[in-house]
Amino acid sequence: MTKRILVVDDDPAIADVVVFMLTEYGYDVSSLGDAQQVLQLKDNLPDLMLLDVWLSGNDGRNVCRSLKKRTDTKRIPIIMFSASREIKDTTIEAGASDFIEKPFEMEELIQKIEEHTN
Amino acid sequence: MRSPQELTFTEKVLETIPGLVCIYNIHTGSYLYINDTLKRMLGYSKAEWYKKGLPFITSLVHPDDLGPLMKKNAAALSKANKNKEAHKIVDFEYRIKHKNGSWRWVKTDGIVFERDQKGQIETVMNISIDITGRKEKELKEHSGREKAEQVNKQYSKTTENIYEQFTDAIYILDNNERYVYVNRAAEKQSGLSKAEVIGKQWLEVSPGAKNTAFYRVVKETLGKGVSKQIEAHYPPQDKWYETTYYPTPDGIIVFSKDITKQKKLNEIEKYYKAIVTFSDDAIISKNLNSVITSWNRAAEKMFGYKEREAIGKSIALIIPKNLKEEEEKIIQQIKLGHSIDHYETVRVAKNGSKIQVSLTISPIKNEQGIIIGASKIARDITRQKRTEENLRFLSDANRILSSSLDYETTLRSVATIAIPHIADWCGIDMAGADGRLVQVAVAHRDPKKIIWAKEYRKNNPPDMKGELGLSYVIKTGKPLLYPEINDEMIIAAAKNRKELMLARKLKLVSAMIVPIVLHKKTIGAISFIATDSGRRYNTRDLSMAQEVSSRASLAIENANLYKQAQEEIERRKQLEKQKDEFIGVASHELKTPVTSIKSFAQVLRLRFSKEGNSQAADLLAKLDAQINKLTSLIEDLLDVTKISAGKMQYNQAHFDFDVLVDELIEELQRITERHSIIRKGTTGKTIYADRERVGQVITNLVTNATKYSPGEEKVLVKLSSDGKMVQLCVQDFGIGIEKEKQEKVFERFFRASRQGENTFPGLGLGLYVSSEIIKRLGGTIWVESVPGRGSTFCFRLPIQ
Repeated sequence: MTKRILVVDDDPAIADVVVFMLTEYGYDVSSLGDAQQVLQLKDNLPDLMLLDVWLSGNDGRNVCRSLKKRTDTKRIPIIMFSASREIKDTTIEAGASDFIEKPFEMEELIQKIEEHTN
Repeated sequence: MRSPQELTFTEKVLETIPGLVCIYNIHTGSYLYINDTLKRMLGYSKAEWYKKGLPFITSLVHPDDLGPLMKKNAAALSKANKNKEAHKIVDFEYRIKHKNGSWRWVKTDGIVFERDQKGQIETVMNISIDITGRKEKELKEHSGREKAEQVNKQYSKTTENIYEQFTDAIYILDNNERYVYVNRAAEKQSGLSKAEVIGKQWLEVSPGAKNTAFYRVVKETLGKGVSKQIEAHYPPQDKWYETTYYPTPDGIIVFSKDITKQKKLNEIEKYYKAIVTFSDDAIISKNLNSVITSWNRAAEKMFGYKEREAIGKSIALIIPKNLKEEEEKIIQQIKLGHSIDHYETVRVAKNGSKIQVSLTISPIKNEQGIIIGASKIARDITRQKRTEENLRFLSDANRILSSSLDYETTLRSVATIAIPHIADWCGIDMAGADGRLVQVAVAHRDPKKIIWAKEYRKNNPPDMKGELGLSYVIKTGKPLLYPEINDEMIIAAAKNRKELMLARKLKLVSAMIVPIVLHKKTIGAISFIATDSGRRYNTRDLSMAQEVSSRASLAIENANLYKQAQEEIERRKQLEKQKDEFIGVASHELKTPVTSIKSFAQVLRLRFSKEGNSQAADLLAKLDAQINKLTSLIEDLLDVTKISAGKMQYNQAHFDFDVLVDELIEELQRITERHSIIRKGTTGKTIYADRERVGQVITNLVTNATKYSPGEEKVLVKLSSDGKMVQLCVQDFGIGIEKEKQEKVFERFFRASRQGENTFPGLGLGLYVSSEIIKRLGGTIWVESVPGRGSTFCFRLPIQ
C-alpha cells in the first residue's frame, strides 16, 4: 500500500523539493504550509508527517503537541526537521518520533520514513 | 653716837642716794643728817630743818595723814625694837607741805640706823621720794571711781528694772570711760561681775579692747552727741557684736548684742545662698499655698521671669494649662513629708515656649519641724530630650528611607513620623521637570490644619522667583532656620490681607527648611514648622534636619540607580533575545535554500540514475559534494557567531569514545578518496561530553589533515588514555606548520598557506571552533609540527 506522507513547511523551497523527492520514491505526498490547516485536518489523515519546527508565526513543536493530544492524530508518527540540531531534544519532548537536520541526505530521510512507518 | 668724822664719810655716801635722806634721833627728835635733796624736794634749806627738828617737820605733815602716820610709825617702831635684826621699820605715804605752800605727796621708808646697847633703836634713817605725780593720779582715779560708783548707785536705783530686763547687754560709761552701770546681760556677755567693773575705766577692765572698733567708736562718740551703730568682730572673745552707742551729757550708753551665731549663720547662709544663686539648676521655693517664695538666677534664666516678677505669684505661672492638676498632687505629697525625685514634666516660660524639665521637690520644715513649704530644683532637660528626639527621628527616618525604593511613600512616612516630637507641621516638596514644586508629603499634628495648609499652598504656590522660605532654599540649595517667627516677619512675607490672615491662623512659631540635594542640584526641600508646641528650632535641630535630607537624597538616588539598572537589564535581555533570534533566523535562512538545492540535486541524481544517464548523475554527485562544503562553511560561520554571542550550547552525555571515533572514520573515509584514515590504539573509555561537538572536532582535524597533505595517502588517528583523560591525535604527513605560526593556528580567521601558493580552501574557522569546543569541554588542544614533514593535532578531554 502506498504510504501517505504529509509535508508541513511554510517555505515552498523545501516543501516542493521534498514532495518531489518523495514522489520519486513512490510515496503519496501532500503538503501544507500553514499550522492552522494542519490542526484542522479531519479526514484523509497521513501515515507520517514531516513537520518543520519553523513555521511562520507558529512553533512546529506546539503543533506537534496539539496533534499528539488529539485521539485521531496522536498515533501519526511525526518527524520534525530544523536547521538547528540543538533543538532535537525539544522536538522529541514535544512528541516527535524523530528529528532530521537540514540540509539532509535524501537517503537518510527515506530511511527514517521507512523506520517509523513499519 | 658716831663721831663727826664717821658722819662725814657717811654723808658723802648719802649725798649720792637719790631721794631725801634724813637721819634723826628718835628720842631727841633732832636731825643728825639731811641731804641736799631737801631743797629741791620741799624747798627748805638744811639749816632750817636742823634748827627746827623733827617736831617742825611733823607739823608739816597734812593733818589727815598725820594721825595714821603716827600710829603706823609707833607700831612699826615697837615691832622693830622687839626684832633686833630688823632693818626696815616702816614705809608710809603722806602729804607734806612744800615751803611754797603746796602739798607734796611723799613716800618715806624708815630704816634702822643705830641701836643702843640694849638693841633698842636710837637713830632712824628716812629715805623719802616725791610721789606727788603718781599720787595725784591715784587719787583722781579713786575719786573718779567713787564718782562712778555714785552714779551707779543712782542708776541701779532708777533703771534697775528696765535695763535689767533687756536681753541685750547695756554698758553705761561716764565721760572718763568709767563703768557707771552694767546690766545682767552685760555681765553675762563680758563674763565680768558688776563689782569687778563699776568705777573702773573700760580699758582698765579690758585692755584687749584698745585696738578694737568698739573702743574707737566710744572715743569718737563720747561728747559728740551723735549716736552710732556698728557690727564688728571682737577678737579677745572671738565674737561678733552689734553695738549701738548713745552719747549723753554725762557719758555714753552702749547697747551690745551678741550676733556671733547670726554671723556664723549668715556665713553659712551666704554660702548656701551662693550655691543656690550660682546653681545651673533653677531652685524655687514655695509655700503650701503654692506661692513662690524664692527664685534663683537660674530660674530667671530658665523661665524668663525676674525674681521680683516671680516672688509672691502662684507657681501656676510656669505650669502649662493642661498640667494644672500636677501642682495639687505635688503639694499633697509635700504635706505628707514625701520628696519627689527626677519627675519629668513640662513647664512654660514667660515667652510661651515649653520647657521639658526634671523636677526634684523636697519639703521645707521650720525650726519646729513643721512643713511650711517646698523647695524645688528644676533641671532643664529640653536639650537632652531634644537631642534624644532628634536622634530617634534621624534613626527612624533612616530606617524608613532605606526600607523601600518607593521614595514617594517613604518620604510621606518620614513627614508623618516627624509629628509631633520634631514638628507640628512637616512638608516635603520636590521640584518637577518644569521647575514647579510639587508637594509629595505633608503631615500636621492637627488633621484639620492639613486642609488649611493645603489651601495655603494652593493660594500661595511657592513663588520660585521669591526670595523667601521655600523658593530661597530651592534656588540656592542653602538651608534656612527661623528660630523665632514674629508677626512682623509674617506681615513682611504676606502679599495680601488674605494671605496674612491665613498665615496668622497657622500660628507659626519657628521653622527650618532644608534642601534635598542630589549631585549638586537641589531637587526638593523638607520643611519643619512648629506652631502650637511652641518649640524653637536651633542650629542643632538644623543639623539634624540636614542629615535627614541627605538620607532622603540618598534614598532618591538609590531609587534612580535601581531604575537605571533595571532598564539596563531590560536592554540586555532584549539584546540577548535579538541575538538568539538572529542566530536562529540566520541558521534557518541560510540552510533552507541549501536544503532545497541539495534535495533537488539528489532527486535529479536519482532520476538520472534511473534513466541510466550516469554522466548526468555524476555531475549531480559533484554538485552534491559542493553543497556539502557550502553547508560546512555555513555551519562554521554559524558556530563562530554562536561562540561570539556566547550562545554555544553543549548537550553533555556519556558516550563511548572509541565507538564515536570509528563511526566518524567510517563516514569520513567514504568521502575521502585519496587518503586512508587509519586508527591506531584505543581509549576504552566512556566520556561525559557533547558527542556531536566532539565529533565535529575530530571531523575537523581529520579533514584538515587530508586537506593539508594533498600529496600523501594516509592520515593516522591515534587514540590513548591515562586514568583521567582520553587523548586523540591526528597525524598528517603534509606541509607542516612553521614554528611561529603554530600558536596562532587556533586563532579565529587564521589560515595556513604554503609560500608562493594560493591559500588552502576554507575560512580558517575550523580550528578556532574546535579549540573553543575542546576548551569548553574542559580539555586541551595543541599541535606538534615539523614544516615539510607534517603536523600532529592532539586534544585531550577529561573522562569525567
